[in-house]
Amino acid sequence: MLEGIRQVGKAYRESTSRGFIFSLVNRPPEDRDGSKKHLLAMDFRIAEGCIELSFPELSDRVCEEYLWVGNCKGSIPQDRLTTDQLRYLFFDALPNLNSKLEDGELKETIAEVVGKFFTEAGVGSGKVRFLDIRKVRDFPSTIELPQAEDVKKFQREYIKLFFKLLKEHYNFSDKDFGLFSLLIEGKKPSELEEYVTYLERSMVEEQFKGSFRGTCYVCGREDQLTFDTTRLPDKFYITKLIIFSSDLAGKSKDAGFAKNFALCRECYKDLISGMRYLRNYLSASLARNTLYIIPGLFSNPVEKTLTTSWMDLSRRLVVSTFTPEGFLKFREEVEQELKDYQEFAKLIDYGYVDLLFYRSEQSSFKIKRLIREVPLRRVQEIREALEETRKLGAELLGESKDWLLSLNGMYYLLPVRSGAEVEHRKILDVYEHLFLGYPLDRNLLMHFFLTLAQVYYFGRPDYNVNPGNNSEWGLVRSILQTQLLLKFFEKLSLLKGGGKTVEANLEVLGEDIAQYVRRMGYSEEETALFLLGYLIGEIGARQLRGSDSAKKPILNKINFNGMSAKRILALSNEVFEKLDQYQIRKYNEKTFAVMKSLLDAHIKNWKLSEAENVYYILSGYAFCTYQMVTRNKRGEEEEEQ
Amino acid sequence: MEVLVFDILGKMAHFRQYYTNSSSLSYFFPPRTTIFGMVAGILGLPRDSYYELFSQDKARVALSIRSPLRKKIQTVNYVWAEKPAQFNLSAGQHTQIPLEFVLPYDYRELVVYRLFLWHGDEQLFSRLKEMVSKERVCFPLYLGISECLAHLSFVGLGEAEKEEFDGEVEVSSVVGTEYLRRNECFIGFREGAFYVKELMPFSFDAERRLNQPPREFVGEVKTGTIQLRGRGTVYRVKISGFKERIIFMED
Repeated sequence: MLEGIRQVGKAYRESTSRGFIFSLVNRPPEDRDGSKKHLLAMDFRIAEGCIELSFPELSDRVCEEYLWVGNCKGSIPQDRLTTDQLRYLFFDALPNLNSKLEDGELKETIAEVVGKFFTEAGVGSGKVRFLDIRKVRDFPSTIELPQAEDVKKFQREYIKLFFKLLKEHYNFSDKDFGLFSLLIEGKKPSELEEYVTYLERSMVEEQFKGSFRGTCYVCGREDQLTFDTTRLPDKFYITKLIIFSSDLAGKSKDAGFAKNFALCRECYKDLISGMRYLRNYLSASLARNTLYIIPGLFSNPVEKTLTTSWMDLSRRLVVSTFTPEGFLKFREEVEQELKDYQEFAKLIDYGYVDLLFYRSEQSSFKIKRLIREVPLRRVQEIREALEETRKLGAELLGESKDWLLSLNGMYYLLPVRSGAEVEHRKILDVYEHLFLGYPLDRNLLMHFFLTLAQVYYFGRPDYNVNPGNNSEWGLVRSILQTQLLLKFFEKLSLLKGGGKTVEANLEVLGEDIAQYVRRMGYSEEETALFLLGYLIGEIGARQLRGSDSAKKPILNKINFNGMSAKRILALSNEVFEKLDQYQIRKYNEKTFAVMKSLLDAHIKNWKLSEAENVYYILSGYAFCTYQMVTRNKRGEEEEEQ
Repeated sequence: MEVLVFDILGKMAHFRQYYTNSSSLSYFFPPRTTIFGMVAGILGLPRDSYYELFSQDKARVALSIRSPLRKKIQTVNYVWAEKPAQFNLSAGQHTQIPLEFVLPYDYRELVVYRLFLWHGDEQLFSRLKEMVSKERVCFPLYLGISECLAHLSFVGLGEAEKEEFDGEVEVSSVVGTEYLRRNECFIGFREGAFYVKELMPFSFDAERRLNQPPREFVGEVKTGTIQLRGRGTVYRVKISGFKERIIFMED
């Protein structure tokens, strides 16, 4: 993983011509509400003694011009000219920056700015220094400052006051801004050379102040090294606790962390750039988890090196399996765009990705799961299996967008308790098996599917799946999707197919049923249950017809926790009675006969589990109901025409 | 060359990747430095005293993965200590660390690594042979951390003979990427194989600092065997009952 991140950083640094700091520029903060965000630029006009405001719309270019490289992490004093927290600019950043800058023109200018544009007020028993917003052009020079007992409250009130004035004079509210920045005499942060040099110094050189000679733990070069990783953006390695240091010796040049892990300057820069690039361009979200997609090349006879375009392609390939939209987009945009498909095919044999699922809160970074060295060839196989499954769905059930499965879609077919971290690991387990080709446990999947049915049927709110308004239809569609999911897993050799396939003459039941059963590869027991479920679907439809309620009492006969073979036998008898009761036996005689003969043939030596019994009944029920609904819809459409 | 062959077995393992600690990831197989740490434990050598005794020119080892492996992350509580005085829990808090364990694919089985070991110091080597053949250890064996206790199982003493290859060869040990580069070999990809690449420390000086660059090794964690294509030299090890091809980590 470390080498992967370094390679990413190296490739990125080589692709940017403007120097190290520019490789750390972040992308604009995401707008959650979808609206366009702006940067609030405050330009100090020293000669005129006023602050001019401007509001460029956020874009990658703007982030680079204003050098948005993130705030200082943890307890490090804030000193950035561009930040996503206005309070840093109003209170701390400039005085902090001034104290840290080396002597020079910028330091003098900032001292002048602080002297001219900052003011002080008494808060509680102390004093607070802050940017004087009365100097903003167009703002009134007589503004009543907020009164507060403590500094934090004062800061909050002061910022509130600023945005109130901003609304009045410029019609912008706080929600319109994603970033805030300071300019000096019209010069943006990226144009202030001393500031750029300072940033590099504070991010790299300060960590090397206590450097020592040794072998770099990443590239193996003999060089000046540091063990200080406090400024690395993603902290999966920390030096704060001595429990992790050699001999519990803590921070020392000769012992402790110096013997655990130390880096040379170039590797340090590569890692920072790599981590930033991962966050900016190689991150994604899957099943409500954030992850990095770290590309790499395995033992590589084609002698290719990692490039930003290859990294982007690797990410897009992986992400295309996450959602149906992504899948189609990749096919339309990327596969057709690829000028040299042969080159792509060659690289795909040696390319892999590490999928790093993580949780990041403030400065802490915890790894939830690392799925390592997933060959891109495997990702392609997953794509192909998704496409084949879609085709199977369309063939057996008719065209629908529902049959294009996706990794994110699976999350809603394999329900887990909301909020429970342990439960969420289960879905990551499934992804791991999928990417690495480990076999899946059929019983575990059956457990998931029965829970899914319970969530829809009983409307259980404590799961990640929301049954929505039409839970009946949701149940039908989801069960059919799980059927395709099983076929998808079989295609990828994660599951063995069922037992012996059915030999009975199913064609008497109609082409649709026969084809579905055969293509799904049901064993005779599974077919019996499927047909039993089909009959329940017929009865349910009849029950709906004569009733005002949308309930199907026949479904109450199914125990969603699992049913023994004995209970199945009893249910088949009840189904027979109901067919008679609703006078639909004559239409379903053949189905019942085939079902009963298969059931009787195996009931003494029943191989399926209680969960499987229910699942295959629900499969038949879902198939029947889906057919009826879509047939009715088609009929209505034809009538309209 | 005579090699001592023995297995190290345990329920689980954790070989912390040196660049992770607040989330501790594990290698799939032990680095060379850890292997010789275990060997030193078998011999009862004091802590930090043996690094030069097992330097590249004095000792050779090949490592074979003998059980299908998988990994799981389990969060554990560590003592929060920023200074020695806080080891008595006086900081009043713990830190939760996601710890990655290496486990056998089938939880009922064991994690098994096979070592093929040679040492140039006859006296030391014969002491080791004696200890291992009697399946005795001076200090308890563990796979990475003391929570992952292990035991050893003597396989035999074999003869490792050099063998040139030109074309394809199957080796049952992990292979250094430097070896692949030097010999212009590459790995033949097999259906269902799961190759992993691990960047690991290789050897320490007497002060427990790296005295060589870390090295990258490739291992296959489902079957343990790697199909090599190209030209190079491997070692054929014959012990009664089996014959295997290996590549030493030092090669």
